[in-house]
Amino acid sequence: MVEATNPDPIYLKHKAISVLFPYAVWQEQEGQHEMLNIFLQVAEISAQVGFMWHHIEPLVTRLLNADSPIPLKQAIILASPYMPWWQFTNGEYLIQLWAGAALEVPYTDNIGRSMVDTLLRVTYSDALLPHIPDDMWSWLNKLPPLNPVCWGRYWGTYQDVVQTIRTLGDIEILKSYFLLVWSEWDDLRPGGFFEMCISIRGDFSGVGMGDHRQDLLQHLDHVLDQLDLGLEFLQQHKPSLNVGDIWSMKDRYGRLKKILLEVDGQARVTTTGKIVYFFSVINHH
Amino acid sequence: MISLQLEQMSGSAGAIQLNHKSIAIFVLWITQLEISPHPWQFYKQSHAIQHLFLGLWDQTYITNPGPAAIYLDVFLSCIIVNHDHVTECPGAGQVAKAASICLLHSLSGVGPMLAVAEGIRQQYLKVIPHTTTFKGHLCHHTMNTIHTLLLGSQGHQPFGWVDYKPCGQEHIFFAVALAQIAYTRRIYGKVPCWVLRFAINSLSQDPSPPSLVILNCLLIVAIDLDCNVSSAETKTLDKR
Repeated sequence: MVEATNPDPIYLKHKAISVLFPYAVWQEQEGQHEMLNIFLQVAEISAQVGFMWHHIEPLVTRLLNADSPIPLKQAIILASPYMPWWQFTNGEYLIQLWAGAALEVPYTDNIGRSMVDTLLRVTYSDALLPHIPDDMWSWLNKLPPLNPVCWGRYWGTYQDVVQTIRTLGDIEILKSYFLLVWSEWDDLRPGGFFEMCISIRGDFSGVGMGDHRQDLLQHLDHVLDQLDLGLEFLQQHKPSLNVGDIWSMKDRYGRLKKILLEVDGQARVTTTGKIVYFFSVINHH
Repeated sequence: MISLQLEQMSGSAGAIQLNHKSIAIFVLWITQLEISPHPWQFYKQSHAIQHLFLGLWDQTYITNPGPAAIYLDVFLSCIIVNHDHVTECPGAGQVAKAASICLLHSLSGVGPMLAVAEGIRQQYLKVIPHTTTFKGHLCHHTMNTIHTLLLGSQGHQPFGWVDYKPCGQEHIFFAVALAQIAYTRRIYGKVPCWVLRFAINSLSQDPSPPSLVILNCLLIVAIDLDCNVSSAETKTLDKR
């Protein structure tokens, strides 16, 4: 009946695409995924600009409620990274609903990616950060593969975010967070980077943290290797990267690696010292 | 009764005729809901209905300002404007509602720059000033739409659709009119944002609106996405 004359401008028609969102969600319930997939593609490219999310909020609230069918909750969770949570009139309540709905939806990489992306993105809001339920942070342990363009990773390395995660006192979650946000696709926020340096020296020091340090070092090596491939290679996947980004990322990730090696070295020295002391005590007796 | 009439008429009529006839049936249906027992009001209502039908049976309503002027005349006779606030005359609520929907339909195919619209605009402004509000009015969504259509940005009052929960038949009429507005306005520029907001609100409703509402909302999106949609298609979807 109708056909698009040129597919490219469609990506600029954010308001019209927003209108399709409720329809795409209902289609999900009938097992038809095409429209939601197109919506998600447009939303990913658009970075929220121009969408009529404010008008979708009542629908989102309704569909995240406990009695809503699972496919509908799943559709909302998949779209959740693209929503401006801090602009919603009832964002704090929505976060609670979203957290509850996530427990009911079967895990897939896409769901994991959406949950982590949203979680990190929500942290951008000072008002919403305290309302994230503590157990939501364990989603980071799933370590889903994040896309090169991931707004959650981009926004999620502010100092207060790193501090919040440190406060949880869970080293697995903290390590998973670092593994997710240390990436060749995004630079770290200066305050967050500073807090990470403190965290490595404090939270990851000592003999018992050796395995965690090795995981982090291995990951940083991979990130630095990718950065060495050069701007042209990286721009194929994320055109917005520039020379300055690469330079800054090499510098910051390089310094993190240096601190990790330093802490690791100290731990070894301490261990060796303790062993020497132990044998000297035995010999003395 | 109504569904039987619809079926009989849709078998033989063309798209535009079907529009008129189904609007006529809708007017009949909506006015049946409330007929004033007061003799003077009853007379006034009957007179208004007669005027409505005069306009409805005119087959050239899109190019002829007559019917729109008649609907506007009927509507204005059913309301009182007091200090920029509109209220219905006692007992004339349903007729005002029917007349406003008919007016909306007749205006939906008229481009904003045409002389037709200018004539109606002048007639409208004589009674209803720019600053008029329709809050609390029985048909305030229809009136807000007409106000915005006729006065453009001057008459724009931010209005939402969150509380718009019409019955199925009325919703269909509204969706058809707004799809037509989207089509007409796209020719002159772009689909108005408030039309897209209507579509998003309608598609978000639970339970889902009638399939014809969904179709017309999708048509609005298609028009805004610059898909090839002919005027005939906006009419064909008007198969009640």
